[in-house]
Amino acid sequence: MKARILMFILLICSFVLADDVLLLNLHYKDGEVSLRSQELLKGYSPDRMIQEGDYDLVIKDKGNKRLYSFNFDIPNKVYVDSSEGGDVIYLNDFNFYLLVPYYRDAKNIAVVKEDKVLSNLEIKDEQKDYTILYLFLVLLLVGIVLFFVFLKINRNAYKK
Amino acid sequence: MKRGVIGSPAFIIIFAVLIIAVILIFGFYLVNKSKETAEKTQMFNVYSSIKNAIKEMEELEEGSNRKLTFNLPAKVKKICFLGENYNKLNYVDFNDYYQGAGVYFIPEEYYELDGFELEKSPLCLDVNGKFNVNIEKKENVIVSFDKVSLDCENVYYNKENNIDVVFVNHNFKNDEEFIKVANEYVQVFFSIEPFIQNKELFNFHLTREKVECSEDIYLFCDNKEIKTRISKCPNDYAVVLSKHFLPGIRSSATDNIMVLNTGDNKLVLLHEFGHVFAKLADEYILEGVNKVDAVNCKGDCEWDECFEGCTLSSYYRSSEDSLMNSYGFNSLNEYNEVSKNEINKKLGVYK
Repeated sequence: MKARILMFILLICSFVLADDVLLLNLHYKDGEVSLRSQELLKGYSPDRMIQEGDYDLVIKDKGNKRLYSFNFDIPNKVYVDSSEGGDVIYLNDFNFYLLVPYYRDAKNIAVVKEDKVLSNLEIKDEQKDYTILYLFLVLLLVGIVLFFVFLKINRNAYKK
Repeated sequence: MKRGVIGSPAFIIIFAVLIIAVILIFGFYLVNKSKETAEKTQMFNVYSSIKNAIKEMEELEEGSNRKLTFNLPAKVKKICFLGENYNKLNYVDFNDYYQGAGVYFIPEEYYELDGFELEKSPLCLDVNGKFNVNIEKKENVIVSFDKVSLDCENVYYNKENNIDVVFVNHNFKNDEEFIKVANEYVQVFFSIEPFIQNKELFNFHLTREKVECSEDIYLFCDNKEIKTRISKCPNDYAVVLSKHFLPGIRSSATDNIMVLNTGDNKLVLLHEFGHVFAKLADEYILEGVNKVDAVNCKGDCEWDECFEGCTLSSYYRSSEDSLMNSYGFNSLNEYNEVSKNEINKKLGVYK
């Protein structure tokens, strides 16, 4: 029984500790880039060890402290190839997506080019606030432990 | 034999039937042989990944672990790990396969493996394609089977914080075939320099959930779907595999995404990887393009030998042929030195 309780606790802990990432939707048209929306996912974002591109994506906290940033290029160039030949297609009006790490303290995401902010997005409050979820999980855990303790006490009393 | 018999309709029919039969038998043999090779590649990739993870654990501190999910060909019914301390008398069932310590894909393959310990030996699991393994560093490296199945599956694993490439399924109806083809692409990828020498810098994963793609003149997939799928795995690059029998529809590369027509020569992966990883340009002439900014195409000749035509007709390339110029039959099928240097420069970031 103890092992089962322990396994359950570990399962909940692993769920809470899994990485969060933001999937950012950006739009490009006629040289203008804008941040459109964000979606919270469980998973991984690229390590971005290789930094290239004219644009910066910057994530800042409430105190305007830079939490994370990287360079990127607008993916408006599509190479199309076959063993018989190829071509390059240039896109002008399209959506693209970036996976970035999620920070609990993050307040703002901005696209910057040559120190000029081109577009920015506030991090949604409902995504940031995990307090209720944590509280719920803690209460759930306490409830389950109490339930098993109560069950054990009851069984012992019954045996007597 | 008289000329009249040779020219008779009956002879022609019999001869034609014989030729068709020979072609069919030969074709069947080739298909079977290629399937067998693909399955061996898949088993070898699983074995290599486990071996790499054991090696990785040896160098990490106690408490570290790797949970990996793999796929094996359908004909593998059981996977067993066997440690050094095996007593033949105790495991009569296993003795038919016994070849020493290592990993057994029963009834197909055995690979020698060491540097690990087991809670019991042999440690066996009945498999139906997918299985999960936990490699943990305690006092020694412990290998055990794990019940937690991951959305992300490993094709070829080396170590954490590598260049992570994720295969995504576009239209393979059969998961097993998708996995087999992904394994074949990994094998082709590691057959070309500078990747042969830098195998240890890459991990290949796959995710089974499909993505929507348009298939007009070229393959182009929903960017949001791809990013959502690859987020299940450690990801730096995505390779969407689109099943076709002919190379007609073109593969594409943009951002960190490659979409490949599997009907084309598999070296297309290396060509597209050159675009997305090292920002290499096409070393042939393209119409309708008016500028190029890549290390392998220059407006002035910067190398000992130069050849005209590199995306633009007025630009130069450093070799007559290379993977960024053409691939497949009658091609050199290797990167030139300029491209190799650029790729090596990028690989250096991960060393």
